[in-house]
Amino acid sequence: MLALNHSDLTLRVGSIAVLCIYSAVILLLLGILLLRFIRLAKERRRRTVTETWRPLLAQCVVEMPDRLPTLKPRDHVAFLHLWNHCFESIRGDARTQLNELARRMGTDQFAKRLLRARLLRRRLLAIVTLGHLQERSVWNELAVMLQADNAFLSLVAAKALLNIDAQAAIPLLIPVMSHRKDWSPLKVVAMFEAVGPDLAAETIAKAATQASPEIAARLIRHLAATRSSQGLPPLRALLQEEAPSDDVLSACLFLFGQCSDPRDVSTVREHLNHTTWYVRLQAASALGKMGVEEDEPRLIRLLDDDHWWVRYRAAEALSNLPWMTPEKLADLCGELSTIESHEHLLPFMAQTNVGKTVQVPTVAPHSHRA
Amino acid sequence: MTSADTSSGLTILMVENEEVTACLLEFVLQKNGYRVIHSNNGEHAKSLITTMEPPDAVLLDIFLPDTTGLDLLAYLRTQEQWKKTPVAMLTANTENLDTRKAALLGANDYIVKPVSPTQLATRLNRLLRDSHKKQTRVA
Repeated sequence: MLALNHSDLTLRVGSIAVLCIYSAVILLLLGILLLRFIRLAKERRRRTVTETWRPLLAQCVVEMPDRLPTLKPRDHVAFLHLWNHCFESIRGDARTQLNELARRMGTDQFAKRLLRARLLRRRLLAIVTLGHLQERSVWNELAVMLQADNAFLSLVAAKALLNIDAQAAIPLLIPVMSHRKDWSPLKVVAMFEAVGPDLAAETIAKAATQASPEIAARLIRHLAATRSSQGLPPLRALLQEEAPSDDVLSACLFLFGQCSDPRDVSTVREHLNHTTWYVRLQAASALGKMGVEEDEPRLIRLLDDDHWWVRYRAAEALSNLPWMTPEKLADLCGELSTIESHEHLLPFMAQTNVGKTVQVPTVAPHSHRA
Repeated sequence: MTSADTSSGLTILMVENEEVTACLLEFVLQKNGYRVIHSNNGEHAKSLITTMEPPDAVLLDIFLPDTTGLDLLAYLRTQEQWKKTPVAMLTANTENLDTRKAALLGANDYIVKPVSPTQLATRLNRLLRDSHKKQTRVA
């Protein structure tokens, strides 16, 4: 009897467990179906918004359409994605017309509300949109976002501020750039693309002069990407006023080489005998780009440096000098007294010789026939 | 005389994979009186190059999903009929490497993205005018 009761209880527990598992599976399936349905509905809505608005936005680039369809609130996010995409695909006066269209659709008000959204991606969308719309009323909110823990959010806010008013944004951005370690220098340079290379270079250089050596060195290295020499004066002043760290110094020398301004040659020469090997290395590389004939012996002396990389870069710099021909390089190689210096120059000699043979491919067959 | 007057009836082959940009360019070009044939990938563009008569000009994006604009340009220049068709490259990359490579392969101009509608029309008109002058001189 006891055994029967026991088996009855086990059976009941088993049935309940099976029922629970089945229910869970069914609920899970229903959940998946619901999610899929929501996703498909969203996708369909997005496609409808794209199909309706893409031709109108394209038309708006040339002329403002007379009639515009109504935009349902639930479609506004999809519209914002499309509008921003269009905005970034064109430049010039056409952007003004796109802004006008957005304001007619109430996009500025919608984006302002979205700025307080819980989802980060919506807040980012709002910031980008308000930046494109040059919406001054959100200036203070965006300025606060520069200090946000999320690096991406703060960078997007910085770009929006630059879009709204670059001149007013720069004094806000310089101190932020000089203390945020999480801002990628590449992103910083890209952020300044819209304001023009000169202003970008000057601002980044000023931020570097106020930053810790670690951040400063990274910013200075990426200044070359702006292709402007406007960043050089603040850095020259920095080198004259105080003794910068080796990292900052080597970054400055790298930049001097990239910009090749003759005014910096003497600074580069001064550091060829620096105690830190990577400062000597950057000085040698820079001299290869901006040096004059009298610098050749200086680079030759560096072929006997204690550090392998300095010798290597000195050899590369010598081979890169504008007046250096393969014959001259071969003569120089013959005159070198140490095996190390000779070995470093050989690969670069080989490179210049390869170039020479490639340039005259038709000579050999003719001379052979003769 | 507007650009639409000068360019009416001229055909442009536009190879651009990015839908929004393609739609914008197509609208701007049509508004300026051009007839636009659009291709959104390299393979389709190649088949067009081998089958259709050369258009008056080609707008060619450097970055395509299945090939590069430069490879497509090289292919285009191997086709006898397409040797003199003016080609403008569309690029977001202003690095010298791209433009130099494109020039070596036979590109006649390059237009930097994002595109200004006014600039696009002006550059295309100039490209067609220069090409027309060259062909008249040769004839």
